[in-house]
Amino acid sequence: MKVKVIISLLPLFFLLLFFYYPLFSVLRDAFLVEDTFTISNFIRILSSPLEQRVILFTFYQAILSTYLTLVLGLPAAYLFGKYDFPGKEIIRSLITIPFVLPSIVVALGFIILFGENGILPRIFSTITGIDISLDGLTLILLAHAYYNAPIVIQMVSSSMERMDPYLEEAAESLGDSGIHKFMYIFFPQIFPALVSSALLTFIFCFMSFTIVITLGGPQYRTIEVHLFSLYKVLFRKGEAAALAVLQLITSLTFSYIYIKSTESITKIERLGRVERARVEKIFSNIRDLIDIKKLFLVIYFIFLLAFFMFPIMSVVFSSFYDRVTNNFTLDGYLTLLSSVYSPYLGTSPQRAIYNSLLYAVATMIGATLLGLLASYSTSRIKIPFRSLYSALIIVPLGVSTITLSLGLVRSYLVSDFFYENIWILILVAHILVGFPFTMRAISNALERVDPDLIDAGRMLGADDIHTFMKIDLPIIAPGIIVGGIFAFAISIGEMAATLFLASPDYITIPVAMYSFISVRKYVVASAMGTILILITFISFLVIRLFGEKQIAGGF
Amino acid sequence: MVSVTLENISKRYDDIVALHRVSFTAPDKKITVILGPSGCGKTTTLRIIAGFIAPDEGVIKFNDTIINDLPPQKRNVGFVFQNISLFPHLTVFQNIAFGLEIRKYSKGEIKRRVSELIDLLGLNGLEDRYPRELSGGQQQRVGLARALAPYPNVLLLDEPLSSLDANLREQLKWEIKSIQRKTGVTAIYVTHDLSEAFTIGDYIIIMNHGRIIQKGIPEEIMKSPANRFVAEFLRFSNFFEGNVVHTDEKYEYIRTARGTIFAALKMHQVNDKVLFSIRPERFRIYLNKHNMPKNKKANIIEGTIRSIRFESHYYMIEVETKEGNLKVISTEFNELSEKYLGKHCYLETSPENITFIKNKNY
Repeated sequence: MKVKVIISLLPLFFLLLFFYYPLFSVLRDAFLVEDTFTISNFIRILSSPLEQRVILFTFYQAILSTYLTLVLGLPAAYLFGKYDFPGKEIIRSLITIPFVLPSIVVALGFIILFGENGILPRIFSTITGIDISLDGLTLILLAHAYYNAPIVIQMVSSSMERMDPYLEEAAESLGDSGIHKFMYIFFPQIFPALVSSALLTFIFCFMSFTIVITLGGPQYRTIEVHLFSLYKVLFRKGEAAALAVLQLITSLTFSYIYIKSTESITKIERLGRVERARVEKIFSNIRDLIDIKKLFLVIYFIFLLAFFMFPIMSVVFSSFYDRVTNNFTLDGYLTLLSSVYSPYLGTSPQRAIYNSLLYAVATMIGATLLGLLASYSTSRIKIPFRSLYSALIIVPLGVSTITLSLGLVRSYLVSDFFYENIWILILVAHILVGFPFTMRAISNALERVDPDLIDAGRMLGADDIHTFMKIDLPIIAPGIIVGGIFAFAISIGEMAATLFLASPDYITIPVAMYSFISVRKYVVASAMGTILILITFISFLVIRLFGEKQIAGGF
Repeated sequence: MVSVTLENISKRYDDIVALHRVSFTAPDKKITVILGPSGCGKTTTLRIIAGFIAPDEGVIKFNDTIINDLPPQKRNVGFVFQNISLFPHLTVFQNIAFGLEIRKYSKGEIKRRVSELIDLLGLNGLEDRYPRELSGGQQQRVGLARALAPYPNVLLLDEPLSSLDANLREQLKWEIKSIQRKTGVTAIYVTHDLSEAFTIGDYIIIMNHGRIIQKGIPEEIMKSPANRFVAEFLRFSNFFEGNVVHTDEKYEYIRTARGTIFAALKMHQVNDKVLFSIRPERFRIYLNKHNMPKNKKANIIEGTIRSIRFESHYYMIEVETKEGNLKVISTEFNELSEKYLGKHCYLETSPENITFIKNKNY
């Protein structure tokens, strides 16, 4: 009994110390000026034209991004859910890679591919003689769509595959067909998944930092980016805190709606679990290519794959190719391995790589342990105030990384100990960002364990420790591994918190990439990006290996 | 071995009474079957014995020891699940050995005990398979072996056959009975299936709405159902109400409201009101009065054939009489067809075939 109390209190204690207390510091900054309660910070933020523009732009770009993501993702989701064709699983796997890709790599890919003097504008101008390049907003929207379309594709197509095929047949037997059937039978069934994936996309775009700060330039800035400069550059802590609170209220609201919306997906699933939905086989032989409709499908998939693969490929390409001198080069990789001090980073590139790996491994262990303890507590221990406990555990998901970092700085960087050991705070931030993912992956796995198995174990004499070690643990091991790998991948790609917190000696690969991109050292940046792509790809393969079909650890 | 006794066990979930003052003793070395429709509280009763659910009131005893406060893992009870629920990550051998390993038996002892059970349940050659590689019947045999391995005091079976198909069910129910005989373990078996209950049970408890309606040995229950609910659950039909109007040394004579006189074995006093049933297979149907046996004490009802339905191995005939429509089962009509519809007929049954229902209410 005592052990159980400790187990369930440990994650809570960690969150209180490193999440709720920092959050409280932000609230204090927002509402207290010279120890008196005031809302003057909020008034100043809301009446300033600059901040007004930032807030409006944040919503504007998030809505547009979500829209573009749906436009891009839904046709693919429909085709994946409805048809079967050779290579389907491979294509589907490939287009989920962007989601685990570090966002700085995505941003770099879009700069190299579409940006000023980028690969596509160059090709275009060679052919037509017209110089074009996409502006910051378009790049942001495209990158967001690229990043989030996999969520839409995965969530919607798997909800289609879970549909009860008899429903559509029943409708047809009642004489229903065409638009009516689509609207009344098909659409209502995928609607919850559609809403959930759109909400999740919106939340991610709303709090997106790396893509906006890298691609947006000075004129396009979201709340998250503005928070960064308010605090880091202008040191207006009160206003930064007030803006953070406004952002927090919005993101928590949407996260709450999102969580509610996923509950209705599971309800629909439970109603119709008769048989897998029918998928139509196309392309059973080569002659099908003559069919116009099917040829169109092939072209569409080639386009889709190109859209998802080109940014990755262009990063790899540009790590070997200097577009200033138009030469192939290995300089990028040589620089990256050198232990020589780089003035752009304030430390050596080698150090950044070393830091990244260290944080990633530590985050993997930390976030997995935290996720394991928290999900074990919520699904196996009868705790009082259970729903409050679950709520306290899930809140970090709806808090932006910059707000979190701001809180950590305001609450802990006042002490010399943390000032000298800033790596602790960076690690804490990485763990907090990765934790919702490990938590989700592990609790999904735990909840899938048949409760009868636990009872069977108890009947055979197993106490709680036996039950966990001999029944739960072996069964949920794949979920733990998937969660751990996710945490690893998230940590290695994390930029916002590290950029906010780190002094030069503690920076990571993404921060170094950002510094190199700022001074247009694309070859080195791409070399680092290629390393990240490689690591991500391996993580991705491991996750696939453990049969986890859901992306994002079950989100 | 032990007997299991429940005394006044009650359990409520919010406003719903799951169990109300349930008391019985499951005798040592016998199979006790708890029978009832779904939601009657039979599974709750079983899970209370297992220790998964704590009762609100009442006492659970193994022999004379009260075990209310003993956690499930200390009760030394075997449980066989409706959904079989084998450990998916363990082989057949490891599944069966699970309880022995936890009790820290020696390697040699575990090996000996597991192979003993593998022989007993005919699982030879499957030791290294995983549950997903077994058929449903094999899986449930492993489930049984797993529950029996650590020498349990009591074996609890929660509808163990309901996830299997009909043929397999038929075969396994005999196996379960013979294994229980061989091991001598006290068993409590929950089911909603009548034929399973009466094949397997040495002692039967019938439950409805969280209460025990009747308990006894199978023959007793069949001979005199406690009330109309039990009678209908046991598939009695053709119910009659009447008054005892006359008795002699062997028989009593009952007059129904419609005036028919039935002769039955003597059990009541004159003027007693009685409810009784005649099972459909206890009637013999005659088209011609002359074919009926003459020298026998018999009840005869006249009627008209209204419908004939062929059921896999008999005919279900509905006969309209002045006592209402009666159901009759016959295997004798060789070429039953429409031509018999509307024909006049005689239903005959002897006084022994009249089953009294003790309580006229549900």
